[in-house]
Amino acid sequence: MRLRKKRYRVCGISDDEIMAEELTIELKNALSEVEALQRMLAEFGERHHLLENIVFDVTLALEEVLTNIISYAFDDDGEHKIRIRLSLDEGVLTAEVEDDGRPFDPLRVPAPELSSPLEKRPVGGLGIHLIRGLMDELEYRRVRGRNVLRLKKKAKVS
Amino acid sequence: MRVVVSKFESGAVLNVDGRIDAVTAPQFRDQLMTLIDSGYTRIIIDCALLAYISSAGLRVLYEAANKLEPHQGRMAICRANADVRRVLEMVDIASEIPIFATQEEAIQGLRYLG
Repeated sequence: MRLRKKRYRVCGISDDEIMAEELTIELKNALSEVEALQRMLAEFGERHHLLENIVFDVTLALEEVLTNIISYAFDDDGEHKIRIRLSLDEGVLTAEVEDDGRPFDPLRVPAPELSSPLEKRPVGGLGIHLIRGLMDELEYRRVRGRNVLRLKKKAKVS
Repeated sequence: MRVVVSKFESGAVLNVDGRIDAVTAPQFRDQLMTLIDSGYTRIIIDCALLAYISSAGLRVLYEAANKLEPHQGRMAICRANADVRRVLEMVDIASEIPIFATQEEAIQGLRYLG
């Protein structure tokens, strides 16, 4: 995992509030990176006094995005980088997830039939269903051969 | 994640402490399936200390409920915190696995269902 931080300073507000922080994490396509992701979000949440349930929701949505990418995006067994950029601006937490896998728009995956018998349900789809339920806004783009998924969540501060 | 198992009648209570995510779900699955394979048909997942569950964990719960069904087995969930409960409700897990407030109610509930 690699970290990059950018801080933008705005004049005229108290020192704590002037940080509109952007945090970039680079993860490998390995399930074990889920733990690094969790730590990162816990720290980000603490630093910005985010409510615990907001941190919970964004962590869960990003775990689902990450495990989907790791499981389905790559045709080879090689190492790939998945970049997650977190930013908090005017009470909205934005997470942008970028990978170099095959074109895949998770928003076009049909919702699982939660009412149908268990054995008839597709195994996939649960994660996407959670992502949709947890986040306020989702947007997918294919940019220069990369998948970019942007997730937004209104982030109340504790 | 840590799982502590206690027994009741023909059942087992799994107290899950920590997080069930993509990394820990396989370990949770092993422990749950081992119990079912050894003949336990009443399974209660006590979530009092469960801080987090992702779809990897939900899939294990669904798989276990499926596995119990032909053996007239039953599963129940109890004492989930508000965050975990929200996730369980989002996938309407209660339509397959009933959710109870306390462990006693879960044991009672399974007795009644069985």
